Amino acid sequence: MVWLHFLAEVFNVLFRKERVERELDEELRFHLEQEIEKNVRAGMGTHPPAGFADVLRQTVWGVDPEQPVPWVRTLDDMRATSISRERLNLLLVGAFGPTALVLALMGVYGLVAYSFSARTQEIGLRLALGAQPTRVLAQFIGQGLRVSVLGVAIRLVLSFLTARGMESVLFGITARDSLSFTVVPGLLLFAALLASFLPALRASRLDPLEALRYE
Amino acid sequence: MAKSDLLQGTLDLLVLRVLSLQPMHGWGISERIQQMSGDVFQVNQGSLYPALQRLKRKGWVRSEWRVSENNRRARYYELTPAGRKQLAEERRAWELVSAAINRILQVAY
Repeated sequence: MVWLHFLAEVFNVLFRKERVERELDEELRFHLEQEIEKNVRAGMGTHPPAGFADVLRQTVWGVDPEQPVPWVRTLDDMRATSISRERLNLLLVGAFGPTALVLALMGVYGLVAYSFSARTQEIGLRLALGAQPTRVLAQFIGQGLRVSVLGVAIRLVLSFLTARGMESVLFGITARDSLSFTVVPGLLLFAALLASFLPALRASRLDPLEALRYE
Repeated sequence: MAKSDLLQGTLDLLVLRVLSLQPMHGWGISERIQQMSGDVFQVNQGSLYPALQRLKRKGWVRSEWRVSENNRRARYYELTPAGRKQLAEERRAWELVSAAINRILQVAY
């Protein structure tokens, strides 16, 4: 009976010890957290981010001088680093998009302008025979638009098929984002319309006599 | 006890004094001492918590777990009636001692 009593006593001591230690642990952790919170808050209020690193180090060392503090970085810094790859990707996509658009517009403009210069005599003849300038205008714009519509159609199909490969470099939208797939073709067509409008306008304002003499 | 070393046994007096204002958790006590001393005394954990244990064992303070101002669980310390008497006594003793020391220091050469 004595040893049972003894055993109970041992258990009691063991568990009590455990509880006391656990409570002390919690108490000290509370103290530490309060201390850190206070210092961080004070540091944030009065120190610019650069000098703040020293404040943090001093705070940590004030609690435990042995604790290494290898590096201190601001949240802004860490965020910038963590998204630098995505940023570069987006920059590239963002740069390639307009470049492609400009190239396409130059293509449309060049095509319509070329066909205008190649058919100057023909246009002059038609105007001399009484063709309406608006019809000439419409014809050239129509020509530019036809090419653009065909191009946009092909591009739509291609992008729909290859969009998956772009998924990793896009952020915030899906590769087959419905808005992009409706608005962008419209913008392209509109831009193509403008690009073909200039040569078309020139064609419609041609002086028939000069156009007939044009070689 | 960083900046200025407290005399042996003075910490207990300060803790009792601070607790006589209101029940407080350990961190609050160290903050209050630092604040009330005009940043001269900085009490670190290594001396505060043993002191609190000592006071508790002597029955001058008691502790209980409560929810802190920022909704955390914290152990609050509170003065017992015995502690209040002890504070009054230590205070008298301190005034006696400090007055004596001051008198010695202020004797004109």
